[in-house]
Amino acid sequence: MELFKIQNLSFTYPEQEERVLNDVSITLNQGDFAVLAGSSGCGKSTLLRQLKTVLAPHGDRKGEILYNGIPIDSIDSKTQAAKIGFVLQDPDSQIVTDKVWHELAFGLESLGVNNTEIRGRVAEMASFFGIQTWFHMEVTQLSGGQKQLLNLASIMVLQPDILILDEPTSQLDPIAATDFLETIGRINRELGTTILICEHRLEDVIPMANRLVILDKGKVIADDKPEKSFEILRNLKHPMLHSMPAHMRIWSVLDWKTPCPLTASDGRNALSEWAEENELLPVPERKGREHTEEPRIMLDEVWFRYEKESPDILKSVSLKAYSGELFCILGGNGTGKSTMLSLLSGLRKPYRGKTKGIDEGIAALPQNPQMLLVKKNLREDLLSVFPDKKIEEVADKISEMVSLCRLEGLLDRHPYDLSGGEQQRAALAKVLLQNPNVLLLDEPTKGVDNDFKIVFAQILKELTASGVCIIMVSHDVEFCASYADRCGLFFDGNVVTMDAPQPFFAGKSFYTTTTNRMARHLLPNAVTPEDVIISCGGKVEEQKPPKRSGKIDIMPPEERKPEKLPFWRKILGIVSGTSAMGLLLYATIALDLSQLYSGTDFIKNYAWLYILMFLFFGIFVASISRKAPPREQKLMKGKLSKRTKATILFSLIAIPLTIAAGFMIDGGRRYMIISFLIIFETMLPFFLVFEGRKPQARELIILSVLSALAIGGRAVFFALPGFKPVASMIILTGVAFGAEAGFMVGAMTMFCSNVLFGQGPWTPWQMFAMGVIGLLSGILFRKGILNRDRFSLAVFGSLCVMIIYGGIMNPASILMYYENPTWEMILTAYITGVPADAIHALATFLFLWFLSEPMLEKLDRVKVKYGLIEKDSHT
Amino acid sequence: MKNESFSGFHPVVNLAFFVAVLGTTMFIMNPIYLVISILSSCTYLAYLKGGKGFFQQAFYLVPILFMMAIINPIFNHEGVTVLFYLHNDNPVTLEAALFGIASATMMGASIVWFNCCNTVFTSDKIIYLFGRIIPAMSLLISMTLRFVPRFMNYLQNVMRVQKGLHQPKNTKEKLRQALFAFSATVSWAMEQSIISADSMKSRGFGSAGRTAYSIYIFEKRDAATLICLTLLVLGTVIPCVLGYTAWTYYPNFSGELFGIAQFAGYFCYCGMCLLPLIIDLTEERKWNSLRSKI
Repeated sequence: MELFKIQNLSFTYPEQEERVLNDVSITLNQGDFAVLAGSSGCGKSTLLRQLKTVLAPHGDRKGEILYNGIPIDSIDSKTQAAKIGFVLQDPDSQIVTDKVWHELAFGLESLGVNNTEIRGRVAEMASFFGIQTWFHMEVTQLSGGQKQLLNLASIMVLQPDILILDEPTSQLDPIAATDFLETIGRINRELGTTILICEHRLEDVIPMANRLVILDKGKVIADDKPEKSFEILRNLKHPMLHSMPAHMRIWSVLDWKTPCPLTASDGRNALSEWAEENELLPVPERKGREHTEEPRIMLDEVWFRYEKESPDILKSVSLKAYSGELFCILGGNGTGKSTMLSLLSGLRKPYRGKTKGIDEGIAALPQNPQMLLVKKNLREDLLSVFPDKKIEEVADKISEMVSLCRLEGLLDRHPYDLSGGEQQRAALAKVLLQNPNVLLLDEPTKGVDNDFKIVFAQILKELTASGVCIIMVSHDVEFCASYADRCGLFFDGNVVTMDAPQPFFAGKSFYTTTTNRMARHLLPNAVTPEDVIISCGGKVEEQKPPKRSGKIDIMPPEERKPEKLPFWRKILGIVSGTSAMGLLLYATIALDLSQLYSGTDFIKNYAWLYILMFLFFGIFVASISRKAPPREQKLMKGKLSKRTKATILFSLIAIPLTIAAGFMIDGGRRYMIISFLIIFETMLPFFLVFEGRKPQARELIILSVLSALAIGGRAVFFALPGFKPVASMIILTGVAFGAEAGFMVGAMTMFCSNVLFGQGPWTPWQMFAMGVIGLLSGILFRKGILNRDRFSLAVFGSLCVMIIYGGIMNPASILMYYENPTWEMILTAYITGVPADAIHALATFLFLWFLSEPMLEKLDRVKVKYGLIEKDSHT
Repeated sequence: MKNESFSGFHPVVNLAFFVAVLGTTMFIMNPIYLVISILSSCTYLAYLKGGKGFFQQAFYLVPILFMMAIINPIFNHEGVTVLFYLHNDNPVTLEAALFGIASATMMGASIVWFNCCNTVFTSDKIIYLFGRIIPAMSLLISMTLRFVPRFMNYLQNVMRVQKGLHQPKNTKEKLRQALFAFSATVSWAMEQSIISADSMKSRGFGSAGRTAYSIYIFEKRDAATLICLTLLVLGTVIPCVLGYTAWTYYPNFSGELFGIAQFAGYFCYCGMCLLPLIIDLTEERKWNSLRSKI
C-alpha cells in the first residue's frame, strides 16, 4: 500500500535562486525501510522536513506530497503529529522536559490522550526499548545513546505509521550508534513501521534496507533496491562512491561482475571468488618512520584520578609524540581518552609520573567547535583572538589561516550558519592563530561527511608538514587508517599498543577497518580500500581536496561611528556621575548605623542623601546617553499591547483595594498577609493572561531558555560573590522580547532558581521584584525612554537593582516577620542592605556594559531568523 | 536522601501537610504553638537530612535569628514592663523583647519547614500540581529545570576549553574569559532552542486539549492521611478561632496558655506537625517486624 507519494516536488528557499529540490518523485510503501543518501548540502534534510508540515521550512514549494492519498497540507496537525514520527539529529536538544517519564508522555499529552491510556502506552514502549531501569531518572543523567533512544521511544508511543530519521546517529559513538540502528531495524521488522532514514553509516543500515534513494543536487538519481541503486551509481562513475562503505567502493572500482556486496562478509566472498580466477598482487607496504629525535611531548608512567577516593582513570600511561606526525588514539567510550587529552593540554596534573613538553605551545580543539565561536561573523571571531591588537597588525596571519583552513568566502557569515565541517575548520583556524606546535583533537570527524574529512585530512597534512605535532582521539577507524602516521589503542587507562596504521590494524579483529575485515583472509596487510584495489590490479583515483588560495583580504566593511557628545553634556555627566558615586560611598562607609534607632531625626538627616544620590544618577544617565541609531528607533517605537495594559490596570486597582480591606478588617496590623496578597494580585494577571493565550512552542522555549541562562549564568561568576547576571538577563529580555516576556522570565527565573537552591517565604517577593524589573525595562524601551546602547542599559540596570530589587527585598524581610513594623525598621533594613545591593548593582552595570550589545544581537538574530515573537507585540 | 515514606505519598498530601504547617506557623503567634512548631520542624529536618545535614542547614540561621530577636526591642517601645533605657532615652520593654524572640522563632520555624519542604516536595511534584491548574507555566518550569543543568554543563566545558587555550594571567583576562563563556553559551542555547521547539511541534504541541500526565496515583492511604490531617488541622485551628489560644504581647501579655481547650489544641498541633515522622516510624517498625519474621 502506498503510504507517501511525493510527486514532482521542487523547493526553493526564500531569496535564493537555486532549487534545493528539483522535481523529486518518490513513493514509499507501507513497511518499507528506505535509506536516503547523498553528499551534504544535496537537500536531504529539506526533503525529509517537507514530509511533516510543522517542520517544513519556509520557501517556495511546487509539486505534491500525498499521505495515504491525501495532500499533506490538508491533514490536521494532530494526525500528522501522531502518524508521522520525526527523529532529529541532536539527541540533547530534542528532549524538552526534565524527567524520562515525562518526556515519554509529552507527545500523548499534547494530543490530549487521557491518563489511563498514556500509562498503558508509555509502559508498553518503555518495555520495548528497555527503558524501565531508567524510567524515573532525570534526563541529564542519561548517556548520548540513551537520550537518542528516549527520543525514539517518545515518538514511538504515538504509534506512528512512518518514522523519519534525519542523521540520528551522527552525535553518537560507534557502539551506541549500532545499537540505535539495530533498534530501528527491530521497529521495522516487529512493528511494521515504515522507515525513512538519512544516515552516514551506510554499512549499518543498508543490510536492513529494501530501498536506497540517492539524491544529488536536489535530484533523485537512483531509487531502487540497494544493490541496484549502487549499480546505477557505479555506471554513472559518481563521486559519491568515495563515501560508500569500503567493500562497495572496492567492488565498484574493480568492476566485479558479482552483485554489489552489502556487508563486509559479502565483500569477503566476492573477493574470494575473484581471487580464485585472478592473481593477487602484494599489498603496498607503508612502514612507519623510525623516531630517533627527542619527542615533542611525552607522558612517562603517568597516573591520574579525579578524587582521592575515586578509581584511577589513567594507569601508568607512557606515550611519546613527535613533531610533524599525526598520532591517533582509538578506544572505547569512557575509557579516559579525553582525560588524557586534558592532561596533555596541561589542564589537569598527574599525581604520579613525569610529563614533558606540556608547558606551552599546546592548543586543544574542543569536540564541539561551537564552543569557540561567539561573534556575529567569522571575521570578528578570528580577530577576537587578538583583542589588544589592530587589524592591520594581524591581517597577514589571519589571512594565512583562512587560506589554510579553506575558509575563503565565509568570513561574513554567522558562525552558526556554517555547516558542521565548516564550523570545525573555523574553530581550528581560531585555535591555530595562537601558534601552537602541538594540536590536540578530540573526535574531529564526528558527524562530518566524507568530503569534509578529505579537506580536513589535507589541512592536517599541511600542518604536520610544517612541523606541528598532532594528537587526535577518535572513533573513526577508517580515517585513522588512511591518514595517521601512528595509531595507539587506549584501553583500561593505558595506551596498549602503538604502531604505524598498517601493522596496527592488520593484527586486530574488532578495532580494525572494514577493508581489513573483508580482505584479511587473503591480504592480511590490507587496511584501506586502496590497498585492496592495488593488489587486485585496479587503479586508485584520488579525490582531490580544494587547493589553497592566495592572499585573502580580511578587512571588514567600514562601520559608522556614533556621533560625539556635546561638550556640556560630557561635563554634566562627569559632575553628576562623580557626585552620585561619592554619595554612595559616603552613605555606605561613613554612615553610623547606631544612629538609626535614635528615632525620626534619622530620616530627616539622611533620607535626602539617598534622594540626592538617585537624582544625580538620573542626571548622569540623561546627560550621557545617546539616541539609538535611527533604524532601531523605528523598531522600538510602538504601543504596549492591550493585554499588557489590562494587566497593569488590574494590578493598579487591586492593590489599593487589598490595602484598604486589610486596614478595615485587621486594623492594618497583618502586614504580611496584605503584602503577600498584593504580590499575588500583581503577578496573577500576568500568569493568567499567559495561560489564557496558549503560548506556542517557540515562545515557551525562548522564555525557558532565557530563564535557564539567567540561573545558569551564576555558575560563571561563582568566584565573585553577588556577581549575578540574573538582573541583566531579565532587562535584556524585556528589551528584546517586550514587557510581558520580561516579567515572565523575571518571575520564572526566581521561582526555578529557588526550586534548585531552596524555596522560602522570600520566593514570591523575589519573583515580584525581578518580574517588575523585566516589565519596566520592556515598557520603557517600547516607549522610547530607555535606549538600546550599552551605557543607558548598564545605568538603568544598576538603578533597577538598587531601587527596585533592593527596595523590595530589604523591607520585605521586615514585612515578612514583624506584626507591627515601624518605618524606622524598614528604613534600617533598606540601608543595611545598601552595600550588598551596591555590589549587585555594580555587577549588573559591568555585565550590561560588556554583554548587552552582543547579547541583544544574539536575541535579535533568533527573533529575526525564526520569527519567535508573535506579530501583535511588534506593532 | 534516605528512603522516606512520607515522600512516597501523593503530592496533594505532601502539599496539604506543608501548607498546613507553614500556615499555622506563620499566622499563630501563640508561644506554645511556636515552640511545638520549631521543635517538630527541627526534628523532622534532622530526620530527613541526618545530623550533619541538619547542622549545615541550621548553622547559618542562628545569627540571623539572633539579629531578628534584638532588632524588635530596639525599635519597638510598646509594652509596659520597662527593662532599661537606651542612651537616647527610649525604653526597652520585656514585651517587645519577647515579641522579638517570638518573631525570630516563627521565622526560624518557617525556614526550617521550607527546608523540609524542599527535600520532600521535589520539582516533579511541583510540576504535577501546577500542571492541573496552569499547564503552560508548569511546562515552562519543567523546561527551565531541564535546561539549567544542560547549560551549566556547556558553560563549564567552554570555560575549560578557554583555559586550555590560554591560561588567564590576571583578573581582566579571567573576566574576559568568563564573559566569553557566557556569551558562547547564549549563542549555543539560542540556536539549540529552535531544535527543541521543532521537537515539541513535531510531537503535536500546540494542538487543542492538552492533558497532563502524571505517574502519581491517589491511593486509599493518601485519602486516609488526608482525612487524618484535616481532623488535626481542625483540632489545631478551632481553639484559635474560638479565641482560646489568643495571646497578645502588647501592651502587656494577656491570654490563657493552659486549659483543656488549649491543651486539646496543642495535642492536635503536635500530631499534625509530627505526622510525617509518625507515618515513617510506623512503616519502619512494620518493615522491621516483617523482616524479623523471615
